[in-house]
Amino acid sequence: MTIVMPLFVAPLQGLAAAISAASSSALLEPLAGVDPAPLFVLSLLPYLAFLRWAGRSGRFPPLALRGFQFTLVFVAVTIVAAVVAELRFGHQLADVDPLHGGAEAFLTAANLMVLLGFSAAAADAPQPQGHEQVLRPGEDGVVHPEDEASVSDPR
Amino acid sequence: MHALSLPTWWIHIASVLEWMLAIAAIVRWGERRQEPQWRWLALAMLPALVSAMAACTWHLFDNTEALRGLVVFQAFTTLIGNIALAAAAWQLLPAPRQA
Repeated sequence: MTIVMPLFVAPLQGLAAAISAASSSALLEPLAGVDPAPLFVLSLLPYLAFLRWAGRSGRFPPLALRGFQFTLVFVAVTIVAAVVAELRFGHQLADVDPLHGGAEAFLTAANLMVLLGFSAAAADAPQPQGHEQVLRPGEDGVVHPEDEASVSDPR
Repeated sequence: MHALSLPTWWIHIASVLEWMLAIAAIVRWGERRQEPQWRWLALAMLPALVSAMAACTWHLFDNTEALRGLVVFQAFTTLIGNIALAAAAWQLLPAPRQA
């Protein structure tokens, strides 16, 4: 993990720099006229499909799956906070700091669940031992090529 | 960068760091289980990271109207990212095979 981190961070810093550089050019200007709201609403559909298939796969660590589901709570809270910011304070959500931070905290919680779910599960999982790996029926339904003889019709 | 208080900044930074660490944890989890399909999920989580960078850049510039395009870009990458997540979960559905 400690090795992977810098690999991610360096390109991200470059990306952030590229975005701010692009913003000073005319690159972002055609975008500015587009209403982002329908895009955010539309993005919910594939996310619901993601949650459905992730759950049905039965392969996600339970806590991580709950984290991905909890992201929907963040979305709901954000919508309510945005309406409150607009009606009560007359500003967009990002300009009403307590509402903005409070709503975003739900995403921090959701992401923490995803992270802990996969981290704990990865730490618990036994390190595979080459060909000594034993398949327990019903555990994960994995069929390795070398096991094909044992699952083929015994006739 | 004063549109956001320090606590609100930390909440944002924590979310992004957790997402990056989760990507690394998923890669590790896939390697442990010898299920290479998990790498696709890790990859599918990257557009959301780009989306987050766009949002944070906009916040960094005090949510200026001049950079309104960043919010649209954020919405667009969110949509792309969620489609990628759905595709990654879809290919995790069938029984895994050795790569």
